[in-house]
Amino acid sequence: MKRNLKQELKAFYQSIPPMPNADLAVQLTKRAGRNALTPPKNFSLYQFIRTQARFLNRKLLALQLLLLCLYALYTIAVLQDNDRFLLFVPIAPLAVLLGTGELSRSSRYGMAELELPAHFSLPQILLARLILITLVDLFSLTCMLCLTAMKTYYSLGALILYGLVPSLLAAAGSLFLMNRLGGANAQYYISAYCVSLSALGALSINMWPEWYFGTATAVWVFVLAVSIVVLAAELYKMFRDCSKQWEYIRLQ
Amino acid sequence: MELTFDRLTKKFHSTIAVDRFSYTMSNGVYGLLGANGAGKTTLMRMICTILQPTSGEILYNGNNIQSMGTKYCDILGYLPQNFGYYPDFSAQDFMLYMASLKGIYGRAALERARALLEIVGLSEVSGQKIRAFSGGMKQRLGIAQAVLNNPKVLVLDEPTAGLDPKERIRFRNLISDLSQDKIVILSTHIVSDVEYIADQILMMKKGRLILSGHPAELVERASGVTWTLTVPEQEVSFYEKNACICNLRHTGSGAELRIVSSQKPAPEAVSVPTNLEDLYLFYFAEELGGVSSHSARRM
Repeated sequence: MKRNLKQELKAFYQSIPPMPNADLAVQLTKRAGRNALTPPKNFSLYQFIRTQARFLNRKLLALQLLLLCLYALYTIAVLQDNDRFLLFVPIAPLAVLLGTGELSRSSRYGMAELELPAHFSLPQILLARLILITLVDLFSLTCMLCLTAMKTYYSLGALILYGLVPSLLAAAGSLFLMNRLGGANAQYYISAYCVSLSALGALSINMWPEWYFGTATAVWVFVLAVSIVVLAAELYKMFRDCSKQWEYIRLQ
Repeated sequence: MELTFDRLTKKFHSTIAVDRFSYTMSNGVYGLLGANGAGKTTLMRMICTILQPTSGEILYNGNNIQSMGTKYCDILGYLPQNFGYYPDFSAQDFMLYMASLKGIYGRAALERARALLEIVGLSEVSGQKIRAFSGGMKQRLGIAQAVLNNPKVLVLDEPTAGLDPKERIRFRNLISDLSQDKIVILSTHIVSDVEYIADQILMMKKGRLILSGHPAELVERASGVTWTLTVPEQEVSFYEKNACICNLRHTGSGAELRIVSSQKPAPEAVSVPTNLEDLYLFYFAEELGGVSSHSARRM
């Protein structure tokens, strides 16, 4: 019966208008409409965030995985034991860069106007994406951290610090640019910023090794604190602005 | 079920996009007609709570829609004028994504998405990426997502823009089928899109509601403003400059003109029944770049 209904519907809607039989149209629509469902009322924000995982850009996940695999391959198969191995530092901003596109996705692809009048608001959609990309980044960076720890003499605490600072600097700077520039162009500036940060990290390992001495820890902690404050402020700005709905979208 | 607009106004700096719009809608299809820049899209965005009114309010069954929050979103379906899509989404992904935003998930979302893709004739291409779709297919997908939550208020902003005539008729019929027990607000500047399916037509000009009523009633009210006239070829340019011509047909003996004017354009002009397109031209001739139908001179 279901197959018949499908065939009838297909034949009906593919027929050249005007419609051959208005009664049939009503009948078919009503039959199909029996499947009409009242939206469940108990769909929590947690469930919403979980559901959004399947809608993350798959290319982003594939690239993160590729980056992680290359890092693992290099660390395990190519690199000999190296006391000063800190490839982790320049890689961290690139891992963050991969996730930033997800936050500006709605406006870049013109979906914001469809997403705005939905049950879940734009700040909730952004929150879901932010949580998911943070989880992906955290997973990726944690794996890299473990791989790095196997090859270097730095303590785990120092490695976490050297990983967190470039990651948070990349995230805070990206949000700063996104909040002020908006739209598709912002992604180019963010890419340039993260790549520059990555290049600086790579240069610093070779040209300024004293940055990674124990005496420089206080500076690293200070930069970490500043980046946390900037990140928090930019996140606040992003959620505050996007709750203004259309005004926010127009800026994008 | 009632949607009431109470002196609704929206200003963008010094520009008034919607000016003291007042009207009450109940179940049925409402065709919103107006030239580009008449304020249709701004009005639609306010109905969808995307834009906040500068003054006035919109009430759904007596409640301000802004204060209803998600309760209002749950009964709303919206198809914007130019909607985008994520390039990595297939039609089914898109439907499931929109369902998740509307609070529908799991098996319910899948069944509803499949049923609607079937209704709009996209079930066979549901796995294909949207970027490979034609304009008509995208619009059908757009309407399918708009009715995902079985909305009570369905807002369609220029849904037939860019469609070929066949797709437009199919789309029109689809809207008509899906409009039962709903308030459907359909904006367009293509008169034939709403002529046959709208229960009420609202005409907007410079942000104001200038005319409303059943299509037949409006046409009846405007009887006596349409004229036909056959003139020699050399006089055509004269009429083009001085009258609002809605149709020009060259015949062997001259040119047959269909003129919209509140005054008889020439002694030999013959009054003919007015249709909705004539009426539209009567009100919007200036916006469309023609001579005002009100100022057409007696010759």
